[in-house]
Amino acid sequence: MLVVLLLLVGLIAFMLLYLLRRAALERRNTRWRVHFSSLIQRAIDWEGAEGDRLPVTFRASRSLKRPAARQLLIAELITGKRALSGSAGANLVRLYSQLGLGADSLRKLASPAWHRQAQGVQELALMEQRNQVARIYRLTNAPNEIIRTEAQAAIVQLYGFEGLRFLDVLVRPLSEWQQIHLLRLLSRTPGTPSGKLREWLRSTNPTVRDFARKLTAEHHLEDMLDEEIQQTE
Amino acid sequence: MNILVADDEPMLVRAIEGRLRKEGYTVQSASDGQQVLEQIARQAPDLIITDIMMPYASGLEIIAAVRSLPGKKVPVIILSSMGQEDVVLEAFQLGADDYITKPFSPNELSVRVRRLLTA
Repeated sequence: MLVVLLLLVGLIAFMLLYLLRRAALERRNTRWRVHFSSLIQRAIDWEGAEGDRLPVTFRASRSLKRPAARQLLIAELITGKRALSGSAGANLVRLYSQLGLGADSLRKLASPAWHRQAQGVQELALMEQRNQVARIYRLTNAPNEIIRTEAQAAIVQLYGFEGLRFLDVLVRPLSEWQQIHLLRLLSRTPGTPSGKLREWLRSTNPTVRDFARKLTAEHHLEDMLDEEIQQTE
Repeated sequence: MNILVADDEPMLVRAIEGRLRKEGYTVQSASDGQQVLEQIARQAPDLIITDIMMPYASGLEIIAAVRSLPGKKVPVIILSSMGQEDVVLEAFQLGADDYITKPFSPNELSVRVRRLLTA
């Protein structure tokens, strides 16, 4: 009886501590969000010259010494970048770069957890960190499907049709869903498939061949496909 | 001029609020459809900017509710990441005055707001 009572008291104490801790973290995040809100607002409305630095408030820069605060700001910037285009979107990217938040995203690529790696790839792509393309490119053939698909989409987002060069060396399957996703990303990109299309039609990876056929149809290059079929026959 | 901004993404609401306040508008905000309907019932704003996908009541339901109000016609701008033709058409059929697809430019939003309020 006493043991049950003690267990019950322990459980209640644990729950109370957990709830208190959660409330404290929520209060802290709310405080940071207020600091970052004005920072983001200023960035959105900023009209400085190319080399100028975006204004960063003292309170925001003090908060940003904490990794959790930096992650919170990255999340806010990602939300903003998804919703805003034009100079506002470009300024959010500029703020991300100016505050060195790319290093935080980059650290995620080295994480053993697949979801952290996928998150890092998404952040770098959305924030147009082209200087990290080599790191992302290596993940386009990753054994984990989620990481692989995120990396492939990231490369295409950053480089359009040029980004499809990962198909040259892809040995893992390109799922039907991923093929549709890539075609959708490419439909928003100017240009046409590169001269590599013939090579992809002959790829040893059947899913790459399948995707290449879809690309030829999408870009009305059926003649190329017919030639390839004739040569194969 | 009183503008009601509704979106379930707080960061975006703050960004739009900030921009519109800077331009001299009074801005109210809501994070779900129910809040919008309650605010409209209390006092109709001069313009509504709303997302489509929101908890409790969608942007399309909001347009229908606004259009059923007696008195002056309140302009509604839909601000959504849903760019599918059928959704856009449904919004206009229900009475939306403008439709902006995310990602959007705040400068463009300002111009469209000004145009609707001076029309």
